[in-house]
Amino acid sequence: MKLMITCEEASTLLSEKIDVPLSPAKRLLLQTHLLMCRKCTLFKGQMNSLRKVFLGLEDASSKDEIKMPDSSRDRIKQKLREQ
Amino acid sequence: MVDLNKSTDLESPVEEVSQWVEEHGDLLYRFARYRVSSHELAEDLVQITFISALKDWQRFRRESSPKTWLVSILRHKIIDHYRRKKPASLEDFPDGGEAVTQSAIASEEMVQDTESIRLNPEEILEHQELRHTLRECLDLLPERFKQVFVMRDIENESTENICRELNLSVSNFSVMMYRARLLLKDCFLKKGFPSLSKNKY
Repeated sequence: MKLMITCEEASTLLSEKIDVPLSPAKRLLLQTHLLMCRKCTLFKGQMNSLRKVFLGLEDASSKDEIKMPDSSRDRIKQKLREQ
Repeated sequence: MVDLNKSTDLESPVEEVSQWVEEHGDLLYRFARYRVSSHELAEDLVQITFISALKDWQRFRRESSPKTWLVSILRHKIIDHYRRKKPASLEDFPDGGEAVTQSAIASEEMVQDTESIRLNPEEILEHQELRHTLRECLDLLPERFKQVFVMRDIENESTENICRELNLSVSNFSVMMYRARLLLKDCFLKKGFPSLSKNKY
């Protein structure tokens, strides 16, 4: 079993860890890498922040002015009448 | 055969569903717009949703609100759309998806931006123009990456459910999520997010 992983492998595991539980071996490899690598520790913060931003996006977007075009609204109502 | 124009209550089904178009059309359109890459497709999916709602009107038990019911129909229509195209997998990309992330994936470069995107989620979400930038970046994702990403990181759906609904292996899912996240991070950097929270840390 290898003892060290590259930054690319570590970043892959950081993303994977958000979505699925890592095996004990992968967890150990990642933790060891993070202890020694400031860049990947920062990357971990970025991944987690990104996720927080997007998880809040839908609620926050209710304030946005994204509207269905009137033409589309009219077309749908016409289609409903034709059913 | 159900006569959809026959009134069973104060309103006919067509009148009621037309009223829902007025009340919930924007919300459904916004919901679809996040999940597919073109406004034309979003409009089509919303139209299909309302027509389905009309056809299933008698089965709507009103235990949930019309809004909740309509969103649920739309959500299934979007998943159907992605399922119909082809099995979602990295095989959609001849090179396994490498090219789309080439700029973001370089092992050293991707973590070199130590001064950048220390995102402050609350602050970003407060700004309409930044939310707009988030959507722009989402639209740059390949469509399948976008669908997987939206289900996971916007809807907070479980990995297990997403893989089941989209017929994806966990391994393909993980690669798609990783690449989507890298592409989004790369996009934020290009669009100047670094300046946002410079003074916050």
